[in-house]
Amino acid sequence: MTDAARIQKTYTIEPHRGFLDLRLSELWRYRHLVFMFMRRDLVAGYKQTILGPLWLVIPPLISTVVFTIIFGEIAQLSSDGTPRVLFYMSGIMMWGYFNACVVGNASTFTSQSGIFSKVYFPRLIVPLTNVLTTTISTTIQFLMFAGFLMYYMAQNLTEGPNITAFLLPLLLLVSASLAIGVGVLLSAITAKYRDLSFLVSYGMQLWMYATTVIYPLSSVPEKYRFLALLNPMTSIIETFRHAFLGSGVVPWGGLLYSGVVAGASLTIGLLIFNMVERTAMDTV
Amino acid sequence: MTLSLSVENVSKRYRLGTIGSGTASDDIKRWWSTKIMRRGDPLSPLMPAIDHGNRDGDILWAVRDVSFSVDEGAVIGIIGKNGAGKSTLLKILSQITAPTSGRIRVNGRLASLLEVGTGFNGELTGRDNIYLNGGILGMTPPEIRRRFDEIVDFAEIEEFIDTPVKRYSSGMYVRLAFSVAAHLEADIMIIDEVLAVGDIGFQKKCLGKISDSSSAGRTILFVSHRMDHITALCPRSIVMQAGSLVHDGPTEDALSYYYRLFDTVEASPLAERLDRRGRGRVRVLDVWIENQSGERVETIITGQTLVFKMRIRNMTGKTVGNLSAGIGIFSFSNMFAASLSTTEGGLGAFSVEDEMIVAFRVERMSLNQGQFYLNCSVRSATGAYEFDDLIENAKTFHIDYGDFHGIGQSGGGFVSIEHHAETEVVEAHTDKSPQANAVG
Repeated sequence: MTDAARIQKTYTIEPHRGFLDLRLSELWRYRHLVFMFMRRDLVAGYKQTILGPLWLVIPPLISTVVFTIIFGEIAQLSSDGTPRVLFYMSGIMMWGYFNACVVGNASTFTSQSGIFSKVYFPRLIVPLTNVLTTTISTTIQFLMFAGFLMYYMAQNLTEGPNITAFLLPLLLLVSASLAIGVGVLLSAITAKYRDLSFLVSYGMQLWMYATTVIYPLSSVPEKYRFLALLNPMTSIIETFRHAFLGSGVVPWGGLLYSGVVAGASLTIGLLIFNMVERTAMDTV
Repeated sequence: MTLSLSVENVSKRYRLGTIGSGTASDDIKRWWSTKIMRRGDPLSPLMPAIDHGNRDGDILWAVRDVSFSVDEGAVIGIIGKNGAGKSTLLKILSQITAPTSGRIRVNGRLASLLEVGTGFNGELTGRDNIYLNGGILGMTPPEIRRRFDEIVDFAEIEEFIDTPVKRYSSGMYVRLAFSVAAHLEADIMIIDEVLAVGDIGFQKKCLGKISDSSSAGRTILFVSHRMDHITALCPRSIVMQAGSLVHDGPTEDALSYYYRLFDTVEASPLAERLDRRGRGRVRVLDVWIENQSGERVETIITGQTLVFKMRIRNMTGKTVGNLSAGIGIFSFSNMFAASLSTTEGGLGAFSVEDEMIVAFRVERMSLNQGQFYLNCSVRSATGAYEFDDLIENAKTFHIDYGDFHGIGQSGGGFVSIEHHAETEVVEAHTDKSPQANAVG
C-alpha cells in the first residue's frame, strides 16, 4: 500500500445526515464504479443472445410499425404532415428514453438489494448508471432514426433537420433530470411499499397517452393545449419533431417550463433519496 | 497510539411489525384500525416472535448503547450467539444502515466484507469481475491494476482468468472472490464469517493472509462462530448479548464469558422459557439426559449408553396427532453435530393426549470431548413440518473422552467411528524405474 495512494480521511457515522448534504464529493470518488456497472450491464446483458445489441433497435422498430398501422393507417390520426414512420419513431424513441430511465430508477433499491445489503457505496451510483446506460441505448436508436430520416430525405418526403437539432443534448438532459427526479422518488417509495412498483409501469403507460407520442400537439383543441403543455414531456417531443422533421414550432415557453419542472423534481427526488437511502435496507 | 475506530453509544432500533407489512394497503389497514378505530392491530402476529431478551414491547433493540474503541493495527474479535446484534453492528459500521442514535468516528478507509463476491456477474470473465468487485468494495481501477497479478495468483486461477465465472467450479469462484477481498487497500477491515467458505487448505491460506495484513498495521474487526479462528487471530474480543456489549477484554477471558452465557440462559426452567417458537399446541416442559441406571447426568463419557428424554405436554385439551419430536446437538462453536428424532429413531409419527415422555436411546455415544448444547423441538411429522415448539439452547452438557473402542484409550477427532482394521497380504510392488533396478 503506497502512502500516497492512501486516502487518510476521518469521518463520522451518525443517525442523521444534513438534509442538504448530498455528499457529492463522495459520489465523485466512486465515479469509476459508474463505468464498471455500465460495462457490466452492456456486456453481460447481451451475452448468450442471438441478436445481441440488435435488441436495442428491434422493439422500437416493431412499435413504430404497429403504431403506423394502427394509429396512422387505421385510426387516421394526424402526423402533422410528416412521414408517419418518422413521426411515430421519434415519439417512441424520446418517450422510450424517459420511460426506461424512470422505470429503471424506480427499482433502484429492490433490484440492487443483494449488493446494497452487503456493501456501502453512494447509492446514487445506481440511478446514474441506469441513466447513462439508457442514454447509450437511445443513441444507438437515434442512429437507426437517422438512417430512416436520410432515406425519407433522399425521397424528398421530409425537409430534414434544422438548426434547432442542436437542442438534442438539452432535450436529453431535461428528460434525464426529470426521469432521475421522478424515478428516485418512486424508488424511495417502492423500497417500502412493493405493491406500488406495479403501479409504476401502469402509470407510465397512462403518462404516455397524455404525452404527444401518438398524436401531434397541433391536433389537440386550442383551449386544451395549455393542459397538454403542463406535461413537461410534451414540449420535449414537440421540439424534437420540429428539429428533425420540421413539424410545428419550438414551444420555447413550454421548453423553459419543462426545464424548471425537471430541475425541481431532480432536487426534490435527490433530497428524499438522500434521506431514505440510509435506512432503506431495513425495509427492503 | 491513534484510534482507528471509536464507537460511542450506538443503538439501532427496529419497530416490530410496523416495518414488516411491506404493502401500502396493509399499512393503511393498520393505520385505520389502530389510529382511527382504536382497535387492535389486525396484522400483529398471533405468536410473538423469538425473543433474545432485547425486546421492549413492539420495539426491538438490535444494538443497544454499544461503545468501544479500536487502536490502529489492532485485531478485534466480535462474538455472541445468533441474534446478539453482531451483524447489525457490522452493518452500521459499514454504513449499510444508519444507527438510531450514537456516533461512530472512523479514521481511515474502511472496507467491509460481509460476504465475498458481492456483485459478481456470472456472464463476465474473471478479469472483469475482479475490476467490478474491487470497484464495489471501494478500490479504484489503478489500485486494482497494481494488485491484479497478486489477486490472480492468490486465487490460483491464472488459466481461467478470461473465462466467464459461471463456468468456474464453486471452489474457484470462492477463491477468486476472497482473493479480491484479501487484497483490498483499506486501513480498517470488517470481516464477517467469510472464512466459512472454501476448502480447508484455502481457509488456512486466508487466515494467513489476514494475519499478514494485521501485522502490516491494518485494523481488523472479525466476526466468526469459529472460536478457533477467533483465538488464532484476535488478541482481544468483545462479546455481544441481546444487542448490548457485555464483555470487552483479552480473547481468553471473552471466550469463558461467552461460554458462561449459555449457562445463565439455561438457568431458567425450560417450561418457563419465553424464547420459543412454534404454534404451541404441544410444549416441551423439560429435557434431560439419563445414564444406564436412570440417573440424570450433565457430563457424558464417549462410548456410554444414554437416554435423552423430553417431557412434552398437550396444551389444547384434545389429542394432537401426527407429531414428530427431535433434539439437535450443537458444539459451542455452533457446529451442528448430530440429530436425534422420532423419525430417525424408527418411531414414526405419534400422538399425545396429555403429557408424555419421549426418549431417545443412544447405545454408544460417539461424539468426542467438548462442550455442547441442544435444541429441542416438536412439530408436525408430515406436510409443512410446522413447529409446535422449538427451543434453542435448551440444555448444555459436557462430553469427556471415553473408551469408545474398548481398548483402554480414547479416539481422536470430533467423533469416534466404529471400525475394523485388517491387513491383507499382496504381491510386492515391482518398480520398473532404472534406479529401482539398479538397487534391485
